[in-house]
Amino acid sequence: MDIHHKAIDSIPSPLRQLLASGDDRLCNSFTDVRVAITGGTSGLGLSLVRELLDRGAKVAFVARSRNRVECVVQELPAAHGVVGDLSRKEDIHPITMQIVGALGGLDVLINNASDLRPIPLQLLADTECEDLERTLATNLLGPFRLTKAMLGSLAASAREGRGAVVVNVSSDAAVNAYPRWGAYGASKAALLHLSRIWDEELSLEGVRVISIDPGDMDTPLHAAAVPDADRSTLKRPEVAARELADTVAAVLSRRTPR
Amino acid sequence: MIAARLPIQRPSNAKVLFVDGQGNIEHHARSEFADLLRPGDVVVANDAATLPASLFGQHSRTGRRIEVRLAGRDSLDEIRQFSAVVFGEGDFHTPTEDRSKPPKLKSGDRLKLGRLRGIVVRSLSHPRLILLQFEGSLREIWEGLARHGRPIQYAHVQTPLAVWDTWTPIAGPPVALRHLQPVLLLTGACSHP
Repeated sequence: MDIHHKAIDSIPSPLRQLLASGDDRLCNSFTDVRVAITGGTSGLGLSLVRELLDRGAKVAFVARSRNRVECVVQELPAAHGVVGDLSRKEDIHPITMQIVGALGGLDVLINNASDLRPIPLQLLADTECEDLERTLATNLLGPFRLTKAMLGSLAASAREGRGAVVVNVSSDAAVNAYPRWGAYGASKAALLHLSRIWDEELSLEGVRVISIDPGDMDTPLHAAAVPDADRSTLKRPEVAARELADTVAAVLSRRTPR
Repeated sequence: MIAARLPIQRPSNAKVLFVDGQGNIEHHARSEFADLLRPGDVVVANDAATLPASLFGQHSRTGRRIEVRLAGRDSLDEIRQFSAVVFGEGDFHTPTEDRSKPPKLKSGDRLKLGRLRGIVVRSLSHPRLILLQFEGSLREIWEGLARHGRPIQYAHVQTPLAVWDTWTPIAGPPVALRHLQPVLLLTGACSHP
């Protein structure tokens, strides 16, 4: 499948101008910024953990596998690893507590974890209801519940003038109807609309909710979906992480200190 | 996926206690809160998330079952050491004042609380009140509290509370009270509203 993408999905126009200005001062301003990243042990999530630590952020990340969380913590001891499954309602508050407890609050939440199923990809008519449920649980309900649980901390950051940003990692499958990407596409479309509405609703609180499509990346998720893809044509996740971090820095730079 | 079965976890008939300048007390529906405000009033909102500070486990020296309720810590950065109230066997279904006593607690006693491991540093002026030191890394302690801790609750609410029942929609970082007098610690710390 040829996936088309936009670099940034729902950044408002003033930010587009800001990003286009090439002002490097915007791109290194993560010192002491408290960031949580879901799906942080592989692909884009792991690259984001590395990128944001390099830029001086305090980083917590979440993943389901204890072994993989411990491997990442071993490689990056400054990162705070949390074991949890975002598709499970019962895990959301324990995850939230560990993140905001360890970081002392939260300025940036990056909902990156995604579930792509069934593998191999199927037409919707052949997709089991349970696969659609599981995809929605991870890609839509998980970010919704986690963001909701984090809102108090994010609003507090906004009030303190630190800025508060939620990034929902999207896909061009959120806007284009690709055959066999039904469950994933529907979940990402819902997440995209959720992001837009939430951004409208939370703007008065100073909390920004943006949706970013990082493009087709050379990640385990993409390899599972398109095993015969030419990897040389895919974006490296560390490049996508750098771009995403630049965008978040630009959004944070527009906060209004109180 | 667990489908939501209720629109909110908090009861829709929750009340607001209103005390006027003369000390007169009225009860109102929570939804009437905004109607009670006048221009110029100051609203103080508690946006602290509540630690699930009830930890069940075992007093290693005697093998007896205990419940530890974390009561306070010296600062938000301090997660290794808490003042804590200790009960013997039983749970929230028994009124607090009727709860059984814990075994005699001595400095150096070890407590197993799920995956958490703690040591009694010293007693704090009451047989039930101790200074408790957790062992392990910060990550292990946070995980232990988040996974093993249960909300503190009292006998008037018979159904076990979930963590989300105790977090308001504006809940920020979790905190517990700083060191206060024991009487305040016993009544006010980390309970559901």
